[in-house]
Amino acid sequence: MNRSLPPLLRPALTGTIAAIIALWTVGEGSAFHRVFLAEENLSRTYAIDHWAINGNVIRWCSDDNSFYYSNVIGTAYVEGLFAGAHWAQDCSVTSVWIRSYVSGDRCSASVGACTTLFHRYDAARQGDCVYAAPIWLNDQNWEFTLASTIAVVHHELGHVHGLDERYIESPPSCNPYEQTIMDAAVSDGVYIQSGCDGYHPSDGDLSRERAFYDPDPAQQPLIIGSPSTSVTWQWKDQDWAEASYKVSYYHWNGTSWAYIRTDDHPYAVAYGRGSRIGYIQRIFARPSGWPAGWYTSCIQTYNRIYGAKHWVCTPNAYLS
Amino acid sequence: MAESALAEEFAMSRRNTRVVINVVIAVLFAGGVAYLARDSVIGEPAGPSMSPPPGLGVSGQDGTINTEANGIDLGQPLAQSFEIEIAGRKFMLPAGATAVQIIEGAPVIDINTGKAAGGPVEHQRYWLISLGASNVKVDDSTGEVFDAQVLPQHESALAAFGLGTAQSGQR
Repeated sequence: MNRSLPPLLRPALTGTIAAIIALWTVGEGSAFHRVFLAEENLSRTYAIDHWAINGNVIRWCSDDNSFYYSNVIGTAYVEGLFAGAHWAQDCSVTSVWIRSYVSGDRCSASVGACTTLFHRYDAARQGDCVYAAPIWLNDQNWEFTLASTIAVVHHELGHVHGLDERYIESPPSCNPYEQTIMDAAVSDGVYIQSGCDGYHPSDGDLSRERAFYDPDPAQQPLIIGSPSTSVTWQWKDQDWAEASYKVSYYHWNGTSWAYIRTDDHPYAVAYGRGSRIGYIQRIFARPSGWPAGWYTSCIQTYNRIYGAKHWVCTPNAYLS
Repeated sequence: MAESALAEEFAMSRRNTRVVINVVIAVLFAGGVAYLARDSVIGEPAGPSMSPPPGLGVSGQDGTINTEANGIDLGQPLAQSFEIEIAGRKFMLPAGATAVQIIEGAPVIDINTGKAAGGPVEHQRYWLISLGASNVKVDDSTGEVFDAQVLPQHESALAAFGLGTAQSGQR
């Protein structure tokens, strides 16, 4: 029995399958959404969603607000990480609590501190993020100095910012290869003295934190299908810290590009890293009052920390 | 006979040439019509040279979008069951359960011995699933249920966590 398909059916079938796959994986105005990773193995960080995407200030409270403001929150390492005010002391509605360990609560006895992350699933973005992050200093099992208190809180805030651990895991020891607040802590046998590398985040820590929130440009813009009175532009979404893509549309009037309008691409909040790539499609119809001719769009990536960045233009499309 | 065949071949050749010419003319005509139908296009612009419109380069907190009230709060008792994924494994949280993620702090190294003073941290990141007074801990990097303290009345609701194979009291 001849099992091969008739010659004309083969390309038709292949095309149909390809179309089904394309429709399934690339919906109009959609992207692959997923839980983001700030650093490998550290899932669902808090600050990217809260600051960079939603533009909120972080409301914080502690057992000693004056001490923690002067030595941690109000410093260049935390409040000064980005321009503008991002932290507000508010003990009535608090997202980040810095407090002494309460017996029976989260930390295990073997660690000097721990952080609890409270998650919320966002159906619109199809991913979850953290909306509160109490930091517990385990002063029931450990003795702290002022320096080690600062070091440990900076370490835990590093997690809130998206940093992962950087100590040597097996056997547990200080990491001799880099300067980082995400290293282990050191004790003299009585007191926790500090972090392995002091009690402040290093320049490397700060630059990694800043990089988390820095939006990437739209990638590989192209036209899907044949433009008629409308065009579908697509680009690769390799970003993970953007609040939206701002898409500006232009018409070629024969001598220059005339600005039409700028749209916010909704839900372009891709919770993921570059290793998992999604695609975003925008359908643009020739607006009433605008003539047939050449049109184009340019895409900026936007978040609340960095504003609109990059300027990537799609191929031109002739709209009849 | 030979002359007749030659004449016929010559006539056929002329007919073929005429067909080809007609096809070429038709194609050129159709192309011209299509070109003219494209309105008064002179040609595609070389490429965009515009700059971002004003107001788009502003950074900072220019909005008050706050989605804190939206979504499913895993830190509060769930109104209905909800599926979460931990290290690639899917778990169904029953209604009434909560789920929070714990990041244990870094180990404390004793400078006298060079060893971790409190012993190694076995599960550096994990999920704490609670239903009433019942608790289940799931390692965030492996999806392993490594601790379960479950009351009999919650066993069926938390059965998705494979309590039969859970090891208890490893904290």
